[in-house]
Amino acid sequence: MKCYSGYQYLLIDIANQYGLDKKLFEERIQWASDNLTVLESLADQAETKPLYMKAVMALRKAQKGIPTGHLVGMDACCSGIQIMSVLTGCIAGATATGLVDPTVRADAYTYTTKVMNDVLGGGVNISRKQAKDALMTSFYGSKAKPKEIFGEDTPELNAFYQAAFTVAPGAWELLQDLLGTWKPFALKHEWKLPDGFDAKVKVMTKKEARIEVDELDHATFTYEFYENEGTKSGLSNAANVVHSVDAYILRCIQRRCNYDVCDVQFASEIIEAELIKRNLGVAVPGLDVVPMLEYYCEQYARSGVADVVILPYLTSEDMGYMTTDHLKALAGIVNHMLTYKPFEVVTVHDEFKVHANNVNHLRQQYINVLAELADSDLLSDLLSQLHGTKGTSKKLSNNLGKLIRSSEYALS
Amino acid sequence: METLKQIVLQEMNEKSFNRNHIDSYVRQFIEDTMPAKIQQGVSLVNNYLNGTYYESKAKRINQLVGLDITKVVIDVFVGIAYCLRPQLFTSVSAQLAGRLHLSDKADAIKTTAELLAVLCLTDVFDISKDNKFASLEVVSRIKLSAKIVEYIENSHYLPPMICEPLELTNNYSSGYLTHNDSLILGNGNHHDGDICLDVLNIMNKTALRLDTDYLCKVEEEATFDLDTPEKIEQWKIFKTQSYGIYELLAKQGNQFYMTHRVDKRGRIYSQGYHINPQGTSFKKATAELAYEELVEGVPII
Repeated sequence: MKCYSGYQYLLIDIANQYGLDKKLFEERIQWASDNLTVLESLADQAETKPLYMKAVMALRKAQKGIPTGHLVGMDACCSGIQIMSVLTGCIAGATATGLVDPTVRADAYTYTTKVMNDVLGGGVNISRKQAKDALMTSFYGSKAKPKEIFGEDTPELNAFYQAAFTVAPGAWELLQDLLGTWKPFALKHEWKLPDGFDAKVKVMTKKEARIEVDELDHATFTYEFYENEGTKSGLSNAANVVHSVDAYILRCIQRRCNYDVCDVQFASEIIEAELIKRNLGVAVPGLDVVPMLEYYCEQYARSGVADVVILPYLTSEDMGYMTTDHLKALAGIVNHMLTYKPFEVVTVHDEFKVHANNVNHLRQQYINVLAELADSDLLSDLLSQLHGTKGTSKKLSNNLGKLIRSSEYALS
Repeated sequence: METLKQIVLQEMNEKSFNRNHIDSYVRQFIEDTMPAKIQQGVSLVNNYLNGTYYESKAKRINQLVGLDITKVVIDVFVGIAYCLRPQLFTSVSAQLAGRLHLSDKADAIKTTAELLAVLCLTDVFDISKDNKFASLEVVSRIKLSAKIVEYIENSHYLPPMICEPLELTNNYSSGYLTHNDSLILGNGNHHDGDICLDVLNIMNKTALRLDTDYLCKVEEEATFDLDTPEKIEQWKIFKTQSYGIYELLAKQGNQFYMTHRVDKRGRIYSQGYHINPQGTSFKKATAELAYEELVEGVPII
């Protein structure tokens, strides 16, 4: 991954808030550098004026050598489609969301617009906004929104679905799989994430009642409320599962960036010692373990995803209980964490904000997490839990993790 | 380093802004100054409960029998005291059903609406509508002290904490010093399963500050069209409250901590209204890390 200085990230931040976030990092740096002396005068043209002005003020402080707590925000590139592509090993979808080609600042919405216009042969001009509004909702199961935007049974609607499938075929297949996890008339759907988080989503049905108040001269009003009541079919599992994974990614980032040095250093040492013992054939198998360690080992056994949530519970006595694969996976994560000091992250679901000096490490950790998920079989785990029966979901490729590790624009 | 002063100030903030505390001031005021109205309310409710009704209504109302009616009346008056300005009868009924620990289902709302209609005869509040086609609204007539009115006006949302939040150890906690709540957003979503408290604790401990230079230079603007007098009024109130909170935090040392809750899928939300790094662009711009660092790589001119 190409690294930039804190100062350059401030320039990137300014360009982002101005509205140039679809440009390459170098182009953004160049634009802000070219306009360095007149940045204040451009505020009225900025796409996000309050944040643009804030970023410019932070830059001026930095130029004067004054310390700042300014937060530079980096957004996941089309987060929903990005995650769905990672889970399915879809290289096309990953390419459209910044995870493959390091020389391109990808944008799935722009690609979709282009494919749609190509399919339609230039007769109609579809805007990026139309494609974005339709794509965002349709990948969570909405058929109404694309219809509202492009009309019913129109060439535009057909072109949209063709484009959506072309741009992110894995996400499209996953959508159908997730829609198929709906349990008719179940009162809730639940699943666990690799760090143990319990996603418990009740099925709520909107009800409307006409209420007449005898004591108020028989005045009436309509009251809306929700009842926990199963339905034959439903769309919400698609968005809920994907959002549960974006929340999981966020937790990974928080744990890996803002970590306790003593805990992680200690964990690193005892994991390394245990792996050496196993190499030498002198390791002792673990028998009795603390319940929390056992619990987190179960999460790993089920999901196949190693998570540093387990670190505070590791003791040298209990190491024998863990599998070598689990230890190796943890060692990889932990050793990378220790290459950089801990730092604070402020998050808004798929936006990650840190001090300008720490953006390189944030971007690298995000790439690492997505690459590990692409290498894992998390989707099989999630679908198995939702269906209540163990199954395997076939991936579209087996080398996406490797490609992600060379990417530049996972966060942009 | 946290000081005792910050902890004391935090407790004072919670007593000034937290509805649980404000409820107790309002309750005390009502009990001390309105005994006759309470008594009148109790006898009106008893008459209502003892009435003769059609079968389904009799069955519905029967659920109230056995409740402490004096407490019910006071609870309703406390809830009504927050209606400093006219509020929709529907939403007040729903809020009061919650206060009375009734459900949010239609039957409970209907019973609460009837209780409101009955208690309206005390003149503690008015139920009216602007015209034939308008919705019913409720407005309090309780003459509260100026201090309590100020508390109520400020009670929309707790400001961020100015001392480090308490460690979260179970799903019914908050980080605040004087109250607990479900850490899972949404009615009926609470459970005692794993919600990864470790990450909420990490995020709660991130110290932030207001960029006061920015606040002095850039004015907060509405993110929606101010195209009706109501919207203009609402915006004015919100903006005044926001600047009040900015000033309060600045005076209290300008270092604060957001507390966080999860939704049922695990997405994490910072709890803030006037100050929130997950809010509008302006709100995002005002908050930054309290720990300030020199930016690396600045060219030397």
